[in-house]
Amino acid sequence: MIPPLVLLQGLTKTWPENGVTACDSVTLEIRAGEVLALLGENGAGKSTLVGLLAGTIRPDAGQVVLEGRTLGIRDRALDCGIALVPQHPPFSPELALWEHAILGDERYRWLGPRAKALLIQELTALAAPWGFQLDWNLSGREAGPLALQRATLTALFRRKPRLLILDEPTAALPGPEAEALLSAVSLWAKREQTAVVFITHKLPEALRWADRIAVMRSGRISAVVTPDQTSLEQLGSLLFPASLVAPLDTDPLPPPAADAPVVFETRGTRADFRLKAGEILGLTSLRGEGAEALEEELTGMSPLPQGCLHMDGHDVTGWDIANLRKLGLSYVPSDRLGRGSSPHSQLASNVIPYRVGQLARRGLLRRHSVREYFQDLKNRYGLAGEAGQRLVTLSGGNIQKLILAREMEQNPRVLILAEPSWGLDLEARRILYGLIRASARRGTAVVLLTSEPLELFEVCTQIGALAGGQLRSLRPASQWTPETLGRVLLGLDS
Amino acid sequence: MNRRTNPLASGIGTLVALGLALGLAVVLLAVLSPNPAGALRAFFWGPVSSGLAWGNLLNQALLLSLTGLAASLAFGAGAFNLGGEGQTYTGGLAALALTLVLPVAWGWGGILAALLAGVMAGALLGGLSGWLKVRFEADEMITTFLLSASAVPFVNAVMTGPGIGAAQSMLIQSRPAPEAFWIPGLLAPSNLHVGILVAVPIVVVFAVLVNHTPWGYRLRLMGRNRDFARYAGISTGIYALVPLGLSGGLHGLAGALGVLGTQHSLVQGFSAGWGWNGIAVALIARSNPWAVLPAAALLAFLDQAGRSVVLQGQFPFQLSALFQACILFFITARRLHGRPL
Repeated sequence: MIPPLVLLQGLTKTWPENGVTACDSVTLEIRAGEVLALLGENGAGKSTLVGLLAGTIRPDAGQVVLEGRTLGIRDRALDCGIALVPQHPPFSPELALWEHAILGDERYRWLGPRAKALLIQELTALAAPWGFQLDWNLSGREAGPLALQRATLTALFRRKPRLLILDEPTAALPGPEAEALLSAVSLWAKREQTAVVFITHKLPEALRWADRIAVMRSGRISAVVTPDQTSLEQLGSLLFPASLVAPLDTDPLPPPAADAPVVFETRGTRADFRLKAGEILGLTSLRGEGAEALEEELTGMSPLPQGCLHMDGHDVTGWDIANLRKLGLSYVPSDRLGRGSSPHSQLASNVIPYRVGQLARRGLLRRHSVREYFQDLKNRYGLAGEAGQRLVTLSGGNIQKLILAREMEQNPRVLILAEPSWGLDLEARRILYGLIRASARRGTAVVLLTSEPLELFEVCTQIGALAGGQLRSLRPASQWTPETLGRVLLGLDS
Repeated sequence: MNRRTNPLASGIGTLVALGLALGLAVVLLAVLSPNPAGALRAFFWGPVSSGLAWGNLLNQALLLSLTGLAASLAFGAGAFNLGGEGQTYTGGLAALALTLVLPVAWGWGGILAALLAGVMAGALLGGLSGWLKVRFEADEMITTFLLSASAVPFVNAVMTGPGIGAAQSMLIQSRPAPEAFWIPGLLAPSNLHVGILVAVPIVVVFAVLVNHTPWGYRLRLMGRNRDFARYAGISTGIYALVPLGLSGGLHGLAGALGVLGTQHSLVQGFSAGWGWNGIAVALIARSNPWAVLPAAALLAFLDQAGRSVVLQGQFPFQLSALFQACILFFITARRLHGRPL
């Protein structure tokens, strides 16, 4: 038997910031001459795994063995022949593409016009077999993401890699160009007896171009299959296994009364729904298929591209979030530190933005009344930390709990939650779902936007699936199974 | 909302930085001066050796408190006002121009009106940058700087122009304000005058406003995380415009007080450095209005001490600027700050 080109042995990584184990003793072999597709839901650990492989992330345990040699922390992956093209290659807006190509390449001390011309010549020659037409004098700002991705890929080939890793190389590519890229790397791997690992969310692509397909789930490789052994349907069920739905921890929510008022409604948009008080609507899609943008559009953070939005009988199309909040909107954003909080402020300052008016006495905001308010919130919601502590010192789960408490304390008419369970462990999720249910029982209309479809079965009364940017199907939760949902998300059914 | 997680550690950090800078100053004096003992004495004793010295020290400290507070207000709200120099200068022009047309009989009323004109002029200049930011998302760091840079030659042209310019003078300056509108001096012949004392209550009022009111809370939230502020429903337009307007207004007040209290006419370059040093004060005070007064006092002391050494010890003229640079360097070195020393 031929030894594998690369062997991953027990790679493990737990993020200290939130305690999530993104990779849990992953063992995998990559053979010379093969194309390996890496599939998995968001948060399954794919990017962490390739980061560990390419040396951008240091593992807590485990090792990478390349052609029989164990790589140590002093080895630079690229020097050893492992090349990674990130989904969004980091770039400097000021530097030209040819300058990006030699960044970190210590052979160059000084570059005269002649050396530069030779370099560009070399790069152009390298790009030709890929069919890339690149202007190497464009700056990073002018080049755009596609040219950057291509320039990064071309530049890596100057280093004669043995293993090429592509993180979602086709996410932004139109069909024919994606085909061209994947067929080119596949040919290269066969010819040079090297290997390619590519991450994708597009199952047909994996079936067509990969020699083997590895499926990741919760930080582990849950299956490795070959395309001729499997089918779209089977891959779909590997990605969304029905058995993983946890049992509901409380009674099902009663259906809303027939005369319950419609409090949140979209008309003429790409995802139309009517939401009554006390209902929980879950909307999901695969990444890039349309659910992410809803977070911005439904909360007034950016305008609706088409159609209108109604809240509590008002036409609120085009309203800014400040005004929507006055009508009773609360919103838990997916970006917790950038948008949902002020990370370097105290916990107490993070819970009072809607309360400062009430907490002030004769116009003065006194520290003890702010602290009392925080303490009260802390006791009722089981928050962590002290009022004077800075928010960033909390774990991801505890930050999320604080944001939830702050938003729910408003007793909102409409509550929008975007990716509320990202980075939460099971216990934290149980608390989260309990809070969402409690909110719905008090008559709040809840919209849950998530990229983890299974989560919808935990709490939602209605589930809608988006694919290709459009709402494909919206039904009561009881009429869905994880399998039917997965098929709609993959575009197999509608 | 305190920036400091550990006020003690941060306070010690500032003191250590101060000690390092003073130590460096002493070493420089000892090495460079032909008479080290005299130079040291001039440095530490000079600024407080007489009523005149005290008056100049206090006047400068209070002026810097105003411009430092102005810069702090903008910084605290996440808006960088680099136009303090021009706003101060314009404030001085507005105040002086008004005194030239007001009836002398107005007396103190005229002084108040002129000060208000200075505030308005500065506020308009600062508010314009705020408006440009809200309306066109123009970077206020650039617009305040450019507006200020163009305000200075404009004021220079006006101060010698028809109606305002002095008929016969060696200096480039305007006609003096009528004596009725001169703010009475203190500790004559120093630069100190009663008007500048208003800086203390102004700093206190803004310190309370910023640290202990809902308005100040929102302002600081803007400074900490603008995206969070918008998400939380705070009107980011108002909270971008108002701090820049206020900041400009306080700069304008400093300029008006300098003209009416000390110079009595508009002299080219009269506000030399007040606007820029206000930024230095805000940096030392870390945008906390309470810390503005000691920070301004420190900077004023260093400046006066430097002048005193130059006057008495045959010393390079740029020394005072060098000391200030040392202090700023040590105090703004965040690395030093971030760790408990």
